[in-house]
Amino acid sequence: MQVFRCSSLLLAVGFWLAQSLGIAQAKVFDPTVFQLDNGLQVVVVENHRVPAVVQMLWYKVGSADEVQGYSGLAHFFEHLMFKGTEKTPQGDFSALVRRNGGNENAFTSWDQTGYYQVIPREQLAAVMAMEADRMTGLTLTAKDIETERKVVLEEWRERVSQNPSAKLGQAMASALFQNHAYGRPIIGWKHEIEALEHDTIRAFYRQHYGPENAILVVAGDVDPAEVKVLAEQHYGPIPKAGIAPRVRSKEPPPFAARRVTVRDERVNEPSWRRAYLAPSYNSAGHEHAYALEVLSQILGDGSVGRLAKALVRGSEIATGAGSWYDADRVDATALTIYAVPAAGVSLAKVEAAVDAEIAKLLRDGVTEEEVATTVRRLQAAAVYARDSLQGGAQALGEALANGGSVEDVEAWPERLAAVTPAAVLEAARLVLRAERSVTGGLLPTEPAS
Amino acid sequence: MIRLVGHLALVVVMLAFATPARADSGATAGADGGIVEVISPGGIRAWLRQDSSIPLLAINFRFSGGGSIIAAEKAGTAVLAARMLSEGAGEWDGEQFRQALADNAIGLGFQAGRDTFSGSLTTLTANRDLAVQLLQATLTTPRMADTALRQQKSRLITSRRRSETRPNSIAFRNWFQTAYGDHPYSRSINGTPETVASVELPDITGFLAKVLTRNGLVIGVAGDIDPAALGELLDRAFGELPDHAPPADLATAPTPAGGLNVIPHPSQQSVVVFGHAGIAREDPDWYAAVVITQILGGSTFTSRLGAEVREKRGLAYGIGANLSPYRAGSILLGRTATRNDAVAETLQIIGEEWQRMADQGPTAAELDEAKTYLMGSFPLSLDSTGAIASVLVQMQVYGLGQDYWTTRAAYYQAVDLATAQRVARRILQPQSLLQVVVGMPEKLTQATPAKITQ
Repeated sequence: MQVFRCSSLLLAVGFWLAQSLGIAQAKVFDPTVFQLDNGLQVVVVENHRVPAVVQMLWYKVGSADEVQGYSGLAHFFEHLMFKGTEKTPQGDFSALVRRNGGNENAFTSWDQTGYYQVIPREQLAAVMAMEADRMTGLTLTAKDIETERKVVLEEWRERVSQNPSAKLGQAMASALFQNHAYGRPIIGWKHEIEALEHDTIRAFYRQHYGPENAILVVAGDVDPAEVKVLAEQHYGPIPKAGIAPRVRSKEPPPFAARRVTVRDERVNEPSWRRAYLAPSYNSAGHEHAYALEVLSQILGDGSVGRLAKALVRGSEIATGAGSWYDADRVDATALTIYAVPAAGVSLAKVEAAVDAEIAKLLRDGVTEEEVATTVRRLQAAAVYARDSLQGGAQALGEALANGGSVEDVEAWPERLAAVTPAAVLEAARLVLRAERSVTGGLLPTEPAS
Repeated sequence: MIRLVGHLALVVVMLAFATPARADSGATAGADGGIVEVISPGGIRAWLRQDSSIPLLAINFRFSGGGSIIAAEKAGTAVLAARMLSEGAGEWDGEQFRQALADNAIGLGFQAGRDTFSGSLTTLTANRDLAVQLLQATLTTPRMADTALRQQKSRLITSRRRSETRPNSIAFRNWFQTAYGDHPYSRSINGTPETVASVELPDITGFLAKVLTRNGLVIGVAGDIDPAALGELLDRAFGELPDHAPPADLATAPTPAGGLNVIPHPSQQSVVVFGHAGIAREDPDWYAAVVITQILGGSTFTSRLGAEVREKRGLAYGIGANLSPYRAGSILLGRTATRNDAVAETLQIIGEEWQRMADQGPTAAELDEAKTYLMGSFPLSLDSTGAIASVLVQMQVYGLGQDYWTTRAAYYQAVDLATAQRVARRILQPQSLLQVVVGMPEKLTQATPAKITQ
């Protein structure tokens, strides 16, 4: 019943999950890679289990590429990509996909925007033609834009205004990223979504949508040579758009521990979170990223992590506790810890318990066995990632869109295997520092006195 | 491993005698879907679709009897029972059990539904033996520790409390309460904070004793295993379960009456849930009803409701409706969310589209498009081992043949325009729509005079 023509913080967590599972391939995706003369990168992953194929087209533009004051533009534009071209009137693309039993959608994140269709293999040429056509051919009438603005605002109401937990996430991101656009919401600030002008929207299209800024991933029951012929035929004729390289602000070294509290009358159960500024695969300090992935599992796996053991099953002061680490971003990212207090337990008590676990880890490090079992678990998940059409397409597309390489994806299991307890401790000491952190609390509205 | 090989050899021989009438011949995927029925030496049946291209295995299984057989004051018992089956079994205490699953990348979990209690096991081939031991222990000797129950209750109570302020949860809960009165379907199987707090270990073991029986057990298996090895596995995993009759079916649920409930909730947007009685899965008109529902509310991008509410007017981000054929009463239920000042207009559009479809049915073009979608989407959805195992369970639950993968398309193909019009008139009853609005809707009472509660 849900329609995800969008991304959000929640979906971003989904990306992270897909990433940590999907990327865990011991050279198993084994993709075929080539580039067209116009700069379009093409990745083909063969999977012949069902006579189906997924086409994903990733653009290297996300909310963090928006100019300040125009938040929400990347996501709004993603919606408008469904509005039709001269060749393909609105609705015809979706109808083609549906008529063939397929499904389609799109998503926007901080660093990428992606469009995909799952279709029978016979329809690959047809969806390629339409996807290529809308790279530059959108008609974009004023009416299209205004109707869709209403839809986007309903989406904002549904995802943000209805959701106190999303508000806490946004408040924390804004506090964590003091200079970088990751501090702005992907969906945008409401007043800026309302004010985006038609010329600005059309200019965004010209500035970011073009073959040299895109990655085409085709996964499924296909022959790479065939895909190459089709890609040349449909995407090849599109001229380069002269797209400028990404310009991103860098975070300065953080120097202040920050604290945010969101109070909302709809909250009846408080929750607690802490985010630490952390390197990603692609930012300065990226050599720590793999150790941080292992660290986040040891500390915060929802089932066997140290926090769950200590807070949920040991002292029973929380009903859930764990962490996540979003390693695949263009710039510096976050390692985030969460805890759900048990009934009647204060946020302060939960925070003290988390701090005690962190202090213990920083003092004593992690064991050989913890690292070994964690690495094994992540690597084993590799096989599961091959068990769907989209696993490889997702992992490879995201890595390439963020400035990584196919080699990064294929070598992921080996790089994890090289992580030592000493490396985990070093990464923990680098990242788990008060001045790099934002601590957040979600509480009910204070009773009137 | 040597022991396993020994058993395996024995099982192959016994299978040859035990299942002389096996319908399908091959164990590889073919045009027929390559489904075989495996009957273990101990007489446990499963449907298997073998695929050894990836070294993993998925087993899905379903027992009859779910959250609806629990007394109102103990609601939540079935959900807690499912969770308690992940809290240690046999030689593994809770921590060891969790660690064994995590370290070996084994997925083993249970889920309570309204009518059923289901489980799934996913494992790499290399860890299959351990996975089956864990499943067997879980089904026969779960630990059921007091501390684990206390922690699981605490977790469920917290999440129930949270859901009390979520507009979606409020809306769906109210819809079922209003629709079903005293029938068990009126309550959430998750219970309330109060009922969950009252659940004790004997409630849980009592529920499991009723539900966990080989009688009525349905099993679907997909992935890297051959029929002989599966036969042996089935006996090890399920062979020690008792064989008594499963819980009796519930009394038929009452037909929900139409109306409008408005539940004030501080928000800029209102959640709207709407629906009425559906059609049973076994009904001969089922496939036509699915086609009609698809055209009316199947996808926001291409359905009539999506076109009118989202694409033309921008009133909502998503809108949809679909059939849920619960055993004691099928429903056709939809949901959307719209800004408070557009609730009245949205409700009016929903009512009009319901009426238009009931009066006129779909157009020939709509019918054709929906049919080809429904025929084509099925094979595309079977891209993962877990998805296939799940479908194999459903096929057995609904009494569909092993050839359903190939015959399925014909059921949809047979829905012609006259049938679609007749079934649309039969299932769509605009005057019976029960609508629940959670939010601060404006102008609603004038637009739709109906009963207002709270």
